[in-house]
Amino acid sequence: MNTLKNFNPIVLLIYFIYVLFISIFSFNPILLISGMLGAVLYCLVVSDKRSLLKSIAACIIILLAVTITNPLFSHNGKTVLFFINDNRVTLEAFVYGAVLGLCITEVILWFKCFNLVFDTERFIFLFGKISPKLALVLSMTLRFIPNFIKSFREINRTQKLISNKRRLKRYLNSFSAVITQAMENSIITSDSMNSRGYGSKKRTFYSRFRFTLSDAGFLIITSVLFVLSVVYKTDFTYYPELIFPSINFLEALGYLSFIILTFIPFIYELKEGIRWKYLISKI
Amino acid sequence: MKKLIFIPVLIIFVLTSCSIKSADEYYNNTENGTLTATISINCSTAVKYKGSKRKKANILTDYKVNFNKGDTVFDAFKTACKNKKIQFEYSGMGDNIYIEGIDYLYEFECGEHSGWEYSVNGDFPSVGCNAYELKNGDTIRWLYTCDLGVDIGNKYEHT
Repeated sequence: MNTLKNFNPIVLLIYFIYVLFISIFSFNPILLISGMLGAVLYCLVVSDKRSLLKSIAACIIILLAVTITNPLFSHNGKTVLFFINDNRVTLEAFVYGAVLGLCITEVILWFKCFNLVFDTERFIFLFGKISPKLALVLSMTLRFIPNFIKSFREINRTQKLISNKRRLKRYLNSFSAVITQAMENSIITSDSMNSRGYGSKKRTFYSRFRFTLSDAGFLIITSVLFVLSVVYKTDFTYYPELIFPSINFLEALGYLSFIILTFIPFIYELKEGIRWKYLISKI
Repeated sequence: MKKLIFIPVLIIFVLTSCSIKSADEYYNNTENGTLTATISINCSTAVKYKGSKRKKANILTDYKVNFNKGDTVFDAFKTACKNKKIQFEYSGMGDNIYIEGIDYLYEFECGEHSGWEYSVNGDFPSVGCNAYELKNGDTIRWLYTCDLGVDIGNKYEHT
């Protein structure tokens, strides 16, 4: 069940922009970890656990790789751990690398959530009025890659059964077959679009999304939280030495508002789930 | 799966080609030479720069450093920094070594035209610091500029 979809796509897009904006520009480990938790919990409720585990594993690999590579290229920092070829390897560089890795993985996880909420219909609703061609191209390309992978797997499985070629040769064969199929599909698509009259007249879209009272409420709450967390932000210093600022009441308010902002999808989903169970129990 | 054995072999090869030292080991290893040069490192332009947090202009004043025949400015600079425990970061190798930052003060920190330049006996050589061979009694000055060298007396000329 994905009840967050019930909101107006524009409001949801603004919400995602808020979260991604703070995640990318704050460079604050506390905010990044809270954002990650919010995204993971939301994915846990909405999507299947297998794909979530897969992306978490990929995220951990990226996090480790960035943490280890940053000190090799950045030698700034006062706390020296050891020297490699006359270059210092510092604690600060490790911490900076870890925060950078957290930033990247958090953005990846939020884009996963974004994909869960925005389907083709919502995409066309968002961008269809600004540029119908762009929306069409985007939705076609976004659909193309999963389709491509799916047909590649199908062909490869069949090839595995009917021939005893080496693995690389089999992959190449399947790949060329998939490419041919994709080209054929593109010609068929354009033919069928043409015959249905695409491009002969200006297109109109019909979509059921209206701006309701709950959308306004969602927009106001998220905007207030966003402004609070931007105004009362805390700056961490990494180079030349780590300075973690002390937290006052106002800074705590900033943290709290971002934590609430990132947990909104999860809380909303939980609330709707409980309400659904409650309504079912009354029948 | 057999090919995976290359990965540990590669890691061991990379590790053996690097020399890993602890901080004490690195700083207590002094190098001797027969010739001497004088090095000073100064960032007065960065102290004056608006919005800069730098307070101290002199990082190193008239420090006598020993070097061997054929050593470059970079070698003497490295020895001086090692003896006085000054942080620095460089990139590149061979003749193309470039000093990115000294004592936590990095290029581009005071505007887009800022960075470290060096002069030997008052002149600014137009070669990298690892391509300039030192003579006995040379005076090396590392200066921080906020304006491509104009503010430290190295006029940049278009050729």
